[in-house]
Amino acid sequence: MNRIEVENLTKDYKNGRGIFGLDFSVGRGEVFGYLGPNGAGKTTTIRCLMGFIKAGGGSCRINGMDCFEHSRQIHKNVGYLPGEIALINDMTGRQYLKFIREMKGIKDSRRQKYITDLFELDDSGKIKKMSKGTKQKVALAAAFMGQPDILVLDEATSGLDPLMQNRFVDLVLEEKKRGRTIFMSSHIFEEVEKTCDRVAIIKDGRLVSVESMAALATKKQKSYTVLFKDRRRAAAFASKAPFAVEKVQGARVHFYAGQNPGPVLAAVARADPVDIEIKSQSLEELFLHFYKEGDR
Amino acid sequence: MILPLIKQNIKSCIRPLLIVWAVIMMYTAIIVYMYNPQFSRMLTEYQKIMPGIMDAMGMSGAAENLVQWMGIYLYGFIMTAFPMIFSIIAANSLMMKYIDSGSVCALLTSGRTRRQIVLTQAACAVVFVLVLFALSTAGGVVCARIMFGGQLDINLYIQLNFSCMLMQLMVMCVSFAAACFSSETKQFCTFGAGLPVAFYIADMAANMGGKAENIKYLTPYTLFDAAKITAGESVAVQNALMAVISLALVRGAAVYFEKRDLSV
Ligand SMILES: Nc1ncnc2c1ncn2[C@@H]1O[C@H](COP(=O)(O)OP(=O)(O)O)[C@@H](O)[C@H]1O
Ligand SMILES: [Mg+2]
Repeated sequence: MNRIEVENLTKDYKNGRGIFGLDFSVGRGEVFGYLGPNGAGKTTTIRCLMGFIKAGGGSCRINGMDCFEHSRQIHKNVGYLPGEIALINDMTGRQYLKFIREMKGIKDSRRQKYITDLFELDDSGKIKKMSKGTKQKVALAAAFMGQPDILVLDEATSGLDPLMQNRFVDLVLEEKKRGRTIFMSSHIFEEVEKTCDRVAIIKDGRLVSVESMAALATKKQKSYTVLFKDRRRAAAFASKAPFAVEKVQGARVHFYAGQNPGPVLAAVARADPVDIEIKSQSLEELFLHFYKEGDR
Repeated sequence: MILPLIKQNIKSCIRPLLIVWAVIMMYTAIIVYMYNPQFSRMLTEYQKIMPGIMDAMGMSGAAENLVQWMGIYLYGFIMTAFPMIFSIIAANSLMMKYIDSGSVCALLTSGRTRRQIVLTQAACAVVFVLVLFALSTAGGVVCARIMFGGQLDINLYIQLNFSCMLMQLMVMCVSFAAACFSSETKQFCTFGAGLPVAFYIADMAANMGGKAENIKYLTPYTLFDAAKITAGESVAVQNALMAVISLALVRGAAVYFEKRDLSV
């Protein structure tokens, strides 16, 4: 059964802002990445999922229940990390976490302790005086403390230093092993690449693509740069090549090719090159390609 | 009712409540102390010399006994203004602060319904006003007893406070409802603080008499009529009206809060 189901979800804020006709679902135990540039509509989608705002059209359900109507039952089993961290400023970190624990009726504080230790959080200070990263850690502890089956995380690593970002990735992988369902918005490709099973890419409020990481990997292109003895040979190779050549720069020929490099390499070998350089396209480059695709 | 939230509410409101109570007690002590039938007659003379100013402060009419004296000089200004200030502060910390800062999401994701949240906050707001008036009434009785023995008509004094409390509950409900309808503190200041203050000023203007008297139909504060109560007349209709207005405001606020978008 799908944990999260979003169907034709729309929230129109006018002037082309908002989200429009979103369709996707997240299965049990899946880690689902939600990527998009700033203002794409990630937080708006998550607000619908959390029942903070009512969908203008379409529907979103968690565990089969409408996110707005049944938010009480849904939240008993969901950990949420807000995109814009809003804690209660006049409390200390520890008071806040205790308050949240009591509000959620969580008796056991061991999990909270585990998270605060993992992120080396000093929760003794007033939240008002905390740095952005420290507040983020408090919010992370609040999201993970109840051991919920579903986690909804909105840009979870914003404000964290690289070391803590890595700890976060480890934490997500650990939760994934326990079979939790995780929906995380992000614009950091690395954490998504390391943790997610599937990703959706959203731009200007519309989904550009929803694909599994494995399928994305096969879409990764390789970039080839082949050096010939002189311009003439390079031009000759470029004109006869059985694939699209990106550009010819003097004796150098650049082109991209996908999987199954056999025929490409054979053609290159026949042309007797001096040197060859093959680079894998990074996921980041692939995503940027998707972002641009949304522009068309 | 959500217990941890109630605990948090008490923590955030106890200080303003005690401060406002202390101010009220200070004025109560002073005004009871100043009671003296001869002085009372002198003040009545003042009213004849400069009627406008005294009237505006709600300090008009002649006091024939202690409860009338308190009705004029304590419930004309102090007991209308200071609990109002407390109500605005409390509505802000019980509701507006959570919405404006976005921390309402901590409440919304705690596995409670919105109705539970808004009714818990409303109940706390009401109870705080009740406590403020219970403390003030008790304090007034003690002051009068110490300084003037059994001269205070306790029955009328309690009726006075009860009616005043209903008026302040209405103010609290205006402020609380404004918070439930607002997204930012700016809006809350306009309606949650602005409206009560405007009503208050309108009430002062209406007290000046003359043509301005018609303003009294624009402000619900006129439903609290201290002179009538201390004269022993019944204000049951006014009291009922104030209770109904308060209930309607809370109900409207709760219904809206349950349905509204909270972009946090
Ligand atoms: N409450 C709101 N009222 C009007 N416009 C909004 C509101 N919330 C978000 N928006 C607009 O919707 C768009 C998407 O915002 P958001 O979901 O926060 O993007 P993201 O989280 O992907 O950066 C933005 O253009 C934003 O200005
Ligand atoms: Mg966002």
